[in-house]
Amino acid sequence: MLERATANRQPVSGTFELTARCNLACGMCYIRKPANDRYERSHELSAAQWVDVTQQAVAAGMVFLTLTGGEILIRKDFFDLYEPMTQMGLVITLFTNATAITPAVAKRLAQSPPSRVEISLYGASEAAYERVTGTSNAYDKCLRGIRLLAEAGVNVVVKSTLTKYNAHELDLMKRMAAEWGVPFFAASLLTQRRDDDLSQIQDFRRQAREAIDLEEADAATSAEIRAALAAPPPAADADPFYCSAGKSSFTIGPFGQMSACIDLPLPGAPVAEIGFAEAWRRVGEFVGSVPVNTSCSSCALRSICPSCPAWSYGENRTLNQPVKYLCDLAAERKRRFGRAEPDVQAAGG
Amino acid sequence: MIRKDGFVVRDVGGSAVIVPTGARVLDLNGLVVLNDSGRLVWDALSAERSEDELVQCLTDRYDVSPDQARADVRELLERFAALGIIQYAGQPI
Repeated sequence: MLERATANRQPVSGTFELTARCNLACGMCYIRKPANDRYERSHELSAAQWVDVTQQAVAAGMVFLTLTGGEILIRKDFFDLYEPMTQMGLVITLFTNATAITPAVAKRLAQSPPSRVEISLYGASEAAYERVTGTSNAYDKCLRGIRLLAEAGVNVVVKSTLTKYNAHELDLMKRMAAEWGVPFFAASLLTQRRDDDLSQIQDFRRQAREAIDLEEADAATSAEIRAALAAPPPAADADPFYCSAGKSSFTIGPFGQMSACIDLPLPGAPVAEIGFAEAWRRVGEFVGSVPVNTSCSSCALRSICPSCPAWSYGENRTLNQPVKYLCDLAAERKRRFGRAEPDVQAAGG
Repeated sequence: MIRKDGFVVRDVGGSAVIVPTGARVLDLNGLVVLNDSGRLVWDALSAERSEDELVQCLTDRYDVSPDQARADVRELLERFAALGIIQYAGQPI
């Protein structure tokens, strides 16, 4: 079904970044601006504009919508834009850090619930949470928000971004999610800031060896990587975008800039000015014009590497160059998973 | 029977899917993919229908025996009822 949407270039899946502003200050974040940034706030699309853009997107075929930030709930007009969206026949996912979820917010969300709320949890202790988010007194608010939403009957998923400063609490976070009765997943690939602001990402990123330790500890991930290594590699002249970016999915930034994906702020078509249909056409034109990365397309490790134009842009500000961080990860994956699986019986005997 | 309010049909890659709106997400958190006959029956259920009327919808549209159409309608209605997206006369909404 989704493959057909991609083949038909139906813009079925949209991600709207309602604001780049956030009440936390995570060192690894690719987008964050201060919550009180007046320039940002004054240039964000208004609630009425978001509703209008959503109506146009639905008319063009959007069915899946993710609302993200920044922190979406620091917008005072959040419910002015969100509640109309819930009447449009959309499968809506909200991304939030949950720190702004009060009993009143939880109640209102439960009255028009999204399909899912994905909540970022940055640690299993106040110390780790504070180290990652650069914010004190937020950990308890996050835990309260998770509990309030779960108690209100909203479908909650907890996720974590693993960094040098909280990865040691992964098992504890999993246990907390199990106690709340909600699913949990973690990601450790950190992307660079999309603007040219200073980023602390090099400080927060874990070494390739440590990142792959986690993959090795997870049976499903290990099996997936082994299968990818065993499968024939994709054709060398394959489309530079291996995902649905610009074919059936898109992102619209806080100021209304439509781009191919959340990690690639291009072409930045101004949707509020030119309308959804024209912006989507420009995104397709851009995606079709991106050159193949010949270094990566001929690399023997490409089946276990997520390198793509967005990664190249994030790390190199070009669209078709290898990304050293990913090269290191892929090499480490090959080293760990490239050999034959150990014979468990023999090893155990 | 009749379909409940608060569900809309959307298109994903040429397939018809039922999507809940508003608080209906609490009843059906996901999508229901409809085949052609399922779409026909779902559309007919915008008004109160008897089983015979739904069978008639299928036999009017497709080369299918009344017995087969009835079996198909019953299977569809069972599925819709299990998903909580239709209601029978006298049932609470």
